[in-house]
Amino acid sequence: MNFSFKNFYNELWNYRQFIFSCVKREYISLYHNSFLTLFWTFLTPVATLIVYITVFSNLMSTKLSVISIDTSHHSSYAIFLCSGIIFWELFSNITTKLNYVFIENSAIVKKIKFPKICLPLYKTIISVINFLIFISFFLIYVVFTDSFPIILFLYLFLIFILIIIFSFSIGLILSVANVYSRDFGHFFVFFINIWFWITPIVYPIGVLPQNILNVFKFNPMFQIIDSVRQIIIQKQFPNINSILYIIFINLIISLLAYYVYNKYSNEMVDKL
Amino acid sequence: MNGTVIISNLYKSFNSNNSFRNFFNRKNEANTNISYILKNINIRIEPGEAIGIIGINGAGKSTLLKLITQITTPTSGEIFIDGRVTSLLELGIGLQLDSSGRENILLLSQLLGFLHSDIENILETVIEFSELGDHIDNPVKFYSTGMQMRLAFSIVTAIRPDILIIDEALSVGDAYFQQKSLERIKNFKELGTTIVFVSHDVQAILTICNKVLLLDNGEIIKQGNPESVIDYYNALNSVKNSTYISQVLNEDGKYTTNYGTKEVSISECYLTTKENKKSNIFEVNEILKINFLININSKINKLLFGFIIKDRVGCPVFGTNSEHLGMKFDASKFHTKIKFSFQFPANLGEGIYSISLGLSNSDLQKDFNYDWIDRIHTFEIINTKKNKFMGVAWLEVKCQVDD
Repeated sequence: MNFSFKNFYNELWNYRQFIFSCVKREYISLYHNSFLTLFWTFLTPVATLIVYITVFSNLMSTKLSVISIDTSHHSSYAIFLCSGIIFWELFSNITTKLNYVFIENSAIVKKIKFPKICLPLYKTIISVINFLIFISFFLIYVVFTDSFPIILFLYLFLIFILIIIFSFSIGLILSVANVYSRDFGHFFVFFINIWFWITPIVYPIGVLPQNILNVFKFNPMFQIIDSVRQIIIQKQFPNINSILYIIFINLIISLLAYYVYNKYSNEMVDKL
Repeated sequence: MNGTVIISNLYKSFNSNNSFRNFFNRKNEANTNISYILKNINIRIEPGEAIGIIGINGAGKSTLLKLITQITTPTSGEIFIDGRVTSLLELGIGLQLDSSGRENILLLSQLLGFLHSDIENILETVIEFSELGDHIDNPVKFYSTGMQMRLAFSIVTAIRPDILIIDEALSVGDAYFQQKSLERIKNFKELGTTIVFVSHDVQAILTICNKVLLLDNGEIIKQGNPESVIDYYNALNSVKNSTYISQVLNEDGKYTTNYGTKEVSISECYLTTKENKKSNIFEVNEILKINFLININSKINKLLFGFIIKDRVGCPVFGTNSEHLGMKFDASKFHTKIKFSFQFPANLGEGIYSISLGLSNSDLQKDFNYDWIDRIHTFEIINTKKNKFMGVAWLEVKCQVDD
């Protein structure tokens, strides 16, 4: 089957309305069945945050001072935690949603010819919209409580784009692989829990022993979350090496995702 | 030209080498135990042709349709398709159950790749054609299967495609909607749409298709004139344990299909008038007598004989058999050669009809056949004595006006 980027984008462009309708439908059905949906969508993350804050803020107070955070009250740890969790949630939402996207939608994938990439794309868009809601609340709070150099937003935006590419690529590989063997999906659901803890989200890097730190540094999410922290908490430019490393990993993963999708997505229909 | 489908040397297997596991382990189990769902398929469909595909379950019909729709790709071979394809494969075709009918029209038509400008225009026509009325704003999950099918069919056929592919779907709707859908399909065909149609409904295939493919075990074992392929298919179905199937081309360009175990066989068949004069042309309402001679070749204890009259395209007009007529006799006492006859007034419309004869041991054609011959004889009905009328049946009508 001939595959070219031009055809690919033309097809996607023709299906932009479909993607838009899917996103719209998802929100409508979400808020259609229960008027408390808005409450439920916020309850889980807020509850998680409260647990982490109460459990860790005292535990971490000495360690946090290492990275020059005022530890005299809880809010500093809250900001530290939120900045990590919001960006982590973007990654974990996209990947876990994409994991089962083709399996869940097998009815249309098996019966209608359309660019299959529309499905992972619209799921990603929904995750991004949810992220944007959280991050804007958060950034408004940060900007109003403290001065924040505008130029740093550009870096934050760069990291935002890099996370989307990274998550989408991993999710796309998973979504295709999962059709061939559900083991991939089960493994990822298990692995993302470990991944959460090898990424400095609830704890600062300072608590890690040097030898463990040297290993954890290769985790791309480690570098991403660390860069986010540098921007939001320390109001510094992120380490250029970190950014280059993330771009490098993104390049590899997205090429792999392109290869896997291109090679295996056509035959996927037979396995569904 | 738009609407052409060319398939050459197509093979399809579901356990091909290109599986994802081999992505990690390339040497693994290559080329072992490949079973093909479709084997060496060669088809050429011209624009405006209507092709019916028949075959038992698992013969590969749906897979072939999926390949033509380009939902899946062939394991080897080429498919060339020119033009916009839309398909209605099986039931429920991608309807979102939680959304209303109206939202589904939008979603499905976008999914089918309709242009944005067209989608707004088709909304009303789809609602009208599907005749869902007020239900259109209810969630699709509250629809019956028939209603879902009506909605799906109305959306899929809202814009005339170059190639239309339909799989079974119509069988769910009620008779009224089936008729309506068939009309639309016929209309598309006249406007130049290529139709690929899978159905177990022989009537529907005969009315729409001008060519039929018979798939068996992934291979095209017969293709050509709808009537002869369907006769062959029926023969194939009912003679799993028989020894004999043959098809002979007649002078009129049609086929005579003959199958059965031949324990009892038909040796001769001819038509006569009331006065026992052989003839092939009868007046409307004239007495027609079907005579046939049979040979009993081995010992049997039950025998049924019957006939079916079929019209020009092969649709049955009338059929009956000795059991329906209440005849009971002890077949074991018969001699080796016997003559039977059926006599009736030919109350048929003008045209050419064919006769199929069957000898069997039970009423069900599927069960067990001694001998069955489709199109053993043809005859023509002419109308020189009765008043002008239309249709395949002649009824004695009296007209009265009360003022």
